[in-house]
Amino acid sequence: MSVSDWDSPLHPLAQALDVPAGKARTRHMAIEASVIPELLRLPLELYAGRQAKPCVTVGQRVRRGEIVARGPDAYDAAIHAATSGRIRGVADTPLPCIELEADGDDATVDPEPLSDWRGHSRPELLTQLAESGLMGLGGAGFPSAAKLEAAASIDLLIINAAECEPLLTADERLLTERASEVMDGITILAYLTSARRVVIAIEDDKPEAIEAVRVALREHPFSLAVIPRGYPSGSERQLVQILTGRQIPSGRLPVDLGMLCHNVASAWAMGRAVIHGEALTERIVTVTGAALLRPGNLSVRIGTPVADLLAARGMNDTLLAGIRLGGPLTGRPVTDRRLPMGKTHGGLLAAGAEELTPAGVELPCIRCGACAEVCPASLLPQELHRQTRAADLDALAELNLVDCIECGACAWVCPSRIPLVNDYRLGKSALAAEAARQAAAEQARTRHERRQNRLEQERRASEAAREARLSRVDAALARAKAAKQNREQES
Amino acid sequence: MTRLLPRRAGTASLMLQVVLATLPGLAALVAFFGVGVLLTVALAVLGAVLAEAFGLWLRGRSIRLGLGDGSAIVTGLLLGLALPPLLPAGLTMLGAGLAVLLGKHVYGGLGQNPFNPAMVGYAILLVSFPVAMTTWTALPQMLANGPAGLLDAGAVIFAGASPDAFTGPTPLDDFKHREGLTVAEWQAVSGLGGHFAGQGWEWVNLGFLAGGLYLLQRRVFSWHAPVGMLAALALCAGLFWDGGSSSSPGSPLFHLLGGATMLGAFFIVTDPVSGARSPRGRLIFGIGVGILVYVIRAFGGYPDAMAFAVLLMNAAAPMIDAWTRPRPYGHPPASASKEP
Repeated sequence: MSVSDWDSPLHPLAQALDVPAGKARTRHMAIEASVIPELLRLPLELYAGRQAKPCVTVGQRVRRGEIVARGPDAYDAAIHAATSGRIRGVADTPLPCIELEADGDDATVDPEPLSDWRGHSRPELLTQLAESGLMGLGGAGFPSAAKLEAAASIDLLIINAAECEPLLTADERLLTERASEVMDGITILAYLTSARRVVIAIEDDKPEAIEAVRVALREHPFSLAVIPRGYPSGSERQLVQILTGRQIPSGRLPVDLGMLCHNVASAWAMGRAVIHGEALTERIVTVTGAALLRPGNLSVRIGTPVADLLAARGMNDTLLAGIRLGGPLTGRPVTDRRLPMGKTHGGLLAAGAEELTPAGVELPCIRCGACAEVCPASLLPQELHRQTRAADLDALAELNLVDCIECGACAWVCPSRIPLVNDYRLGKSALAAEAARQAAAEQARTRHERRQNRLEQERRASEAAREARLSRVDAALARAKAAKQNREQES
Repeated sequence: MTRLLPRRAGTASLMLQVVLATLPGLAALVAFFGVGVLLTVALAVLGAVLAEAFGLWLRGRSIRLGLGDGSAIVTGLLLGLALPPLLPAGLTMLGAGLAVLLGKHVYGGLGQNPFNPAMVGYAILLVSFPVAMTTWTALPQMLANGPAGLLDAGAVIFAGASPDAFTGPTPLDDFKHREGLTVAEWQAVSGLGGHFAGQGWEWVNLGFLAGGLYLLQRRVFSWHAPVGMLAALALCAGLFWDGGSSSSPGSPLFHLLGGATMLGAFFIVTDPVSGARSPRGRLIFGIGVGILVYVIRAFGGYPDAMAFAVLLMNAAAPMIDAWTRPRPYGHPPASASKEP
């Protein structure tokens, strides 16, 4: 124990998935610079299916760090050239991206640091983050500036360095080698959120990183929480529970409880962006897997095609069971090796069969319950599976499918090799489509009701007007009659 | 602390482990009741596999894949272990076939059946052929003359020879109809009392217990259902145990190591398909089976009760599931939420 240790009691997950200890392969390998490919594909994809709009012309020469595309919102993360070269154009395959031909000089724009950053206003700092291309590097990719804008004053800032995903060691190496730079980033984060407490959470199987953090914390008022290993301890909702014992209510965010979670790599990038004025053009990636000859932790330029990265590290295709962008459980399968590395990808796997969720012929579910045991959200995965196959949307809503965090633990343990997470994604999109359909129907209904109301009101108004007119006529007649009587009496 | 859960073996491998785990119990059965046990088990497996192939063919499914999961073999094996060792071949195969077809395929195959297939087959045979199903090989004669050999057993099973020379009541059956004897008197008179539970059966049960503990250690199933069942059975027997009067329904140990208790606890109530889903649900499921087994044994018309107890609780499993749904992350406690 030291002064900096997190002093609230931990609330470890009752049970969690034990993933194979494949981290040993790369955990002691220092971060090294990776190849700069001849052609980079800078992804235009932003958070939740939105896209950045290119702001360069075909043939334009750019330097590293120059903005090549921007999102629709002010706080969207900008997209930068990851090396110097010539813009070849915009492509739609293998995904929407700007193609950049590297010129080999790797010339960089002059950095514009905010070295006296405490003297700048909050909006200025947030703009700097957005202009530097900051987004959540842990996987979700939510724009950092937008996330921080909504969290001006929080109680607890959680720096997520759990790195529970098997095989990946990028965050671990980052902390081991650059703990003090990470602390700089955390200092900025704590300042921007006015966080009263800051905790850095690491799984207990990373002694080197833990030691590095302890040393760095001598100069910072943050605490360190060493949490028990177990997948998915690094999932935001689970981590909040482990640290505080509180659960984020369904459909809400940590910020609703006065907390904010930030990935450790994002915190580091934030320090680089503000203090050094560097745009986010590279990130640390664990390139590993049984089929890879020279695994390692590489500083990879955003936009580097998977094929170039794998070729640079040597691949044995006979051992290859599958390529994943990200980790073995939550990573995205790569079928087209032209796909580029994005900001959210902390891993690239050329995986052997043992390292992936077992594939093969799907057998019927025997309701063994292994999935329910490992589900961190305490859902009933086998029931969800049955109801997605039956396309029973009401049942899926009732079973709280929306609370599935798609961690993949259920599919990992399934003895019948059922691709459960695929089912849940399909189920979720079906639910979303149904909700949209109902919202549209509801909108049409309100529109109709409003029209009915309006017509009714118009009718009433015209009736009232007619009655008023009639009463005026009656009054006039009465007056005329009275006048006539008066005249008759006078005469 | 966090309990770390490793990856599971594939379904076929799970089934193989179940088969292996029955070996100690099977060996004890063979030792006491002769090779007829092996014949009956083999016939039951054969009947189940043929019915499985037929069912898959009728439903237009891949026979190779369907047989490959090993579930039909397990159904046949468990039924064969529960049947009297000298049951005529036709009945054994009929029971196994109906177990697979009426117990599983009519509901849509593996994973869809609400009832335990082996127990469906057993119950059909028991209500249809009560005499044959309660005719067990007699242990005292066997121990005196050596167990029925292959030829004798074959003659009874295949050729319909009269089994009378080998048969007698099981300890549970005899104990139930002991006509006013105290427990101590019954043990002295019947010679079926065994060392601590029932002659021969105590070893059979210990064999299945050993296999069950192996499966538990291999995490093929969780402890909840078997422990729930055994605890409930022992508790009931303990509550009604009066030290051995003439009306006593038997000591806790007699019930724990008698009849089909351990086979049921570790190989039948642990069936994930027809049981409850959540750990708490499985505990309740097991407790229900334990109570029903005791009630039927002590107060019902049948000497043993595993099949009926399990089938009744199978029917209750969906309701148990509705009661014991775990609270998902980020949702208010059950008292605040609506009825399932």
